[in-house]
Amino acid sequence: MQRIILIAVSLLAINAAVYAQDDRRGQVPDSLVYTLDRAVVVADAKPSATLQSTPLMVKTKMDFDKLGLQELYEVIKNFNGVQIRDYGGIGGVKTVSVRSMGSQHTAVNYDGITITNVQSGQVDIGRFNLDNVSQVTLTIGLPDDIFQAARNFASVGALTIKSAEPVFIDKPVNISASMRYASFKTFNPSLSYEQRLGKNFSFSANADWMKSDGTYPFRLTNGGLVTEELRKNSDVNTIRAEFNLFGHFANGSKLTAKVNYLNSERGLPGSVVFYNPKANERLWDDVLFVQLGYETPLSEKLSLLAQLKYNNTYTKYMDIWESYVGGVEIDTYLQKEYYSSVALQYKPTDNLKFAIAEDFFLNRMDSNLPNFAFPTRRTSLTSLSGQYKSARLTATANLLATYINENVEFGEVAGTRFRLSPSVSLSYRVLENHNLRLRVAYQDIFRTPTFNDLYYAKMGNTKLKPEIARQLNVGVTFNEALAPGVIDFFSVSLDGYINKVKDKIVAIPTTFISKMLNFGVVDIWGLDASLNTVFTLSENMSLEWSANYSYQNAVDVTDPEAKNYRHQIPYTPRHSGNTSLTWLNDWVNVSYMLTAVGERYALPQNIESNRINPYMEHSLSLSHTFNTRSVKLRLQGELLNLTNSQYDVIQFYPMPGRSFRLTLKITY
Amino acid sequence: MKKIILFSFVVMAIFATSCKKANPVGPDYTITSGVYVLNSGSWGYNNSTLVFYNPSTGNVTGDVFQAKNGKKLGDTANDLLIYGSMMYIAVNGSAVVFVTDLQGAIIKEITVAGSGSNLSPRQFAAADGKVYVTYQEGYLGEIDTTSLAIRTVQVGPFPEGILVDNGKIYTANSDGYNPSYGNTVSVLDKASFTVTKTINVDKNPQKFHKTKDGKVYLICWGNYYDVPASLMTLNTDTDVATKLKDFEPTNMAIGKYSAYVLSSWYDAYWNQTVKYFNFDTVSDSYLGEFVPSSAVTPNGYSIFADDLTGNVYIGASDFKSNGDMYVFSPEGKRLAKFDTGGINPVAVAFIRE
Repeated sequence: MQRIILIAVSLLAINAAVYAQDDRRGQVPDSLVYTLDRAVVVADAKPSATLQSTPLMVKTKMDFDKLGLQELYEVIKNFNGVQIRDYGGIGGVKTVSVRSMGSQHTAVNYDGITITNVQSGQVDIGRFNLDNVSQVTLTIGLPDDIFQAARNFASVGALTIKSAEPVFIDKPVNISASMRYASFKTFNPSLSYEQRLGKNFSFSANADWMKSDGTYPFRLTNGGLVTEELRKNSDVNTIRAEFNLFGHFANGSKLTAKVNYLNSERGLPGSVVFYNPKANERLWDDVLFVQLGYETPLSEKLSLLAQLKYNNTYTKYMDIWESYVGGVEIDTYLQKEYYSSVALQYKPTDNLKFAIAEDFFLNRMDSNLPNFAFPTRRTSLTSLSGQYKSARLTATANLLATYINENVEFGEVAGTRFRLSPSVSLSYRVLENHNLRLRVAYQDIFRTPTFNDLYYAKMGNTKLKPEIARQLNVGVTFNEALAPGVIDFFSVSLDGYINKVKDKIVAIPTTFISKMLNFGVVDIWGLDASLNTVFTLSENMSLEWSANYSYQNAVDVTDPEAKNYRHQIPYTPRHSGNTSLTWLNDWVNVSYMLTAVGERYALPQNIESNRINPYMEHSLSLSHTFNTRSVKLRLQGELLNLTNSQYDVIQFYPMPGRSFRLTLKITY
Repeated sequence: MKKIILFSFVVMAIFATSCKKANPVGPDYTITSGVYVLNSGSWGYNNSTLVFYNPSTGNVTGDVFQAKNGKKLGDTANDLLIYGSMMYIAVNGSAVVFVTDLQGAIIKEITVAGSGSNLSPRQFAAADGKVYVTYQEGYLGEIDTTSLAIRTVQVGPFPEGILVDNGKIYTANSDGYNPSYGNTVSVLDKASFTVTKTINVDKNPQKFHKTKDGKVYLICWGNYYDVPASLMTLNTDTDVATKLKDFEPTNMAIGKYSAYVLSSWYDAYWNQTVKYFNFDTVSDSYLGEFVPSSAVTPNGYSIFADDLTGNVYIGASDFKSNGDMYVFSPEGKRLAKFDTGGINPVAVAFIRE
């Protein structure tokens, strides 16, 4: 784990003025160390985006506060080369896809361990809020940090969520409580308690409850007919709770334990169907996972990282409709995962690192569906990595071996799969005195068919091959204090990439029913450009500006005879971008964000009737923190979708118009 | 700040230039003699369309429904019927039957409240001043073509095709939401509009076809797995269905000179093969290939016959792009091919001057 001990200004936690100053630093290069006079705080460093050999985007707790971000998907909206499939509303499913490659190619990692969904291969990031998150990172391609579980090398994109570790400054207990109220009758109270336990241990416990009526108005366009409608059956009731235990020992060992629980019930409003307002679907989730991590130096050159996880996910879906036998459809699913990982890192010299990681995990799925397969999957991932790092050059190579074996209780079983996936990356500082770097990375990776792909009633196809994704990335990054005292931080990056996806796993409708097939080759190329800078306006004032632009050309080259040959694949804008501007001062921090997404197509053929309009969404956030000797009170408000723009991310899943959010947080 | 504003403008400019113009049809467009084609679209996309094909000019005009009514057909249209001076369009996903004039302008929207939601129409049949419509929730509707009032009666689960014959009404109960599918046909007394009995047929009955001599065929689709599709004859005097050997029809059309069968297979890897053959309705036998599989690309999806000209229309679909309609002479010579302007051409209706 590339944890860098950063000595930071202790006053940032208790003194607003210094807090504001520290805010102004923006992205802190990981080589920087700040010293101070009063105390020493150990914190996770923010990895530098410009030093990485592959594109990396990062936002920390400070960024969340400055920009008024409260949900994980809002963080990702500020990233580059990433699309969120957002089904709209408070409880709407949100998944992330990187560079036109499908959300199954994005892994979501929570404190070192991947969150899996073997059923659909997609993780709904809508279930995460940022209350106890310290950092969110998105890596595209091979990560520079090679001392990780093997699974973290097994996807195109890795979204990493790091939860906050307690910091005790002058008392052994921290307590905070917050209350959020938002449009559409949304309440979200939360509580957090942290305590030091002796010299080596501490724990944190937090819980939050979100209840929302969720009904929101939207404007529906049906040809020339425009009507005002209400999005109904969008209610959400979610309870989240987490307990963390942390142990730090004198020899540098670190122990972490986590219990996480989520229980939620929500209405699924479904797609808007002209003339038919039916919306009776409901979904219940009950997720419990327990994870353990232990990292220790075995010798001066050798370190060990061991991790364990157990996950239990229960899902119930219900729909009421006369068409079903008995007038109701109730489907239940139970997924279990037993996960273990051991990684060793060997550092023979200061410049050289090797790591080996072995992950073994078992996934099971049960369901009440008729003729259900009851599949069990055993996966072994072995990852071998090597890295050379000097002041000017970082070179990393990884080889991942995947072995998957399955059995089922009913029906046909998918064959045993084995695959080797190599990836390499290189970053080189071109000039001695300037932080200008060139980077090149190549990755050959795949996604395994999910249980739905293989076994879902009638649709499933046990003969599916894995979906192959290859990516070549070439980029340039530059990072410098352009004009000290005025522009203390300036960072730009430009990456170009070529991707090829083949044997794409898709549901192909047939005359009778849909069927999962390996069908399709997609050629992708694109550009991601990014700019981050901080202007110091005066002693107490600064301006942070960030802008991202993405171009994606992702065309279907499967069949030259098809009417969609060389057409842009669905839900992939050629142009998209975002920008944010934050004004930090002693009074009220103000931040503005813009997300812009170009035209997309809902279906493979790029014709007018399949076209989805471009949109822009503007948001504004205001916040202020009041400090007393022992209590900090933070008041934060956001206006989302300022212009009340009516848009769809997914066609016929209308997004909410203008809305607000107010948060009051008290920290002791 | 200036940079940001500039950036925003650049973004806006990019979006502005990428807008495209549709090719509209005026509401005063007049339909003469020709063929209406109903495109089902894709489920969940509200993209059903009605287009008009003029065989003498080869022109295709669409979407006629939207042009005439200023709004769209809705989601997953499934059947189209011209009866008398009116046209009936069953829009399954939108749970509505549109009754229009022959130009496509709405006369009435028929919805039937079920428990919790409106009923979802599937297919039509017409006889003696009534139009019958199946609803997948397990009902048969009878529309009075004068008053356009509807009454419904419960039949078997997920009824599809309808036959009106011999003073009786038959519904093919597919039971499509049951994983093992159904194998019954409900028989109703036409005068009293009540179910009198239920007869057993092969698995997953779909559609009836009646020849000019009064012979009735029933297509059953099996379970798409180990029970293949089958072709049956139905005796409407005895209400007994008899299975014919070795035919696996998907769709059928009774033409002026012959009957045409579209037969679609999927192999273990779900590669599709479609065959088109002539069928002798006297001897119930295979009469040879109508057109080779390669004559229709991507693959045949629907088949219709024009009983005036004897021409055969085969709709092709890859389920993701606009369909193509092929027009063949009775001898199997290709006369025309046109883009149907929508996905999955599911039904046609011939309009005569």
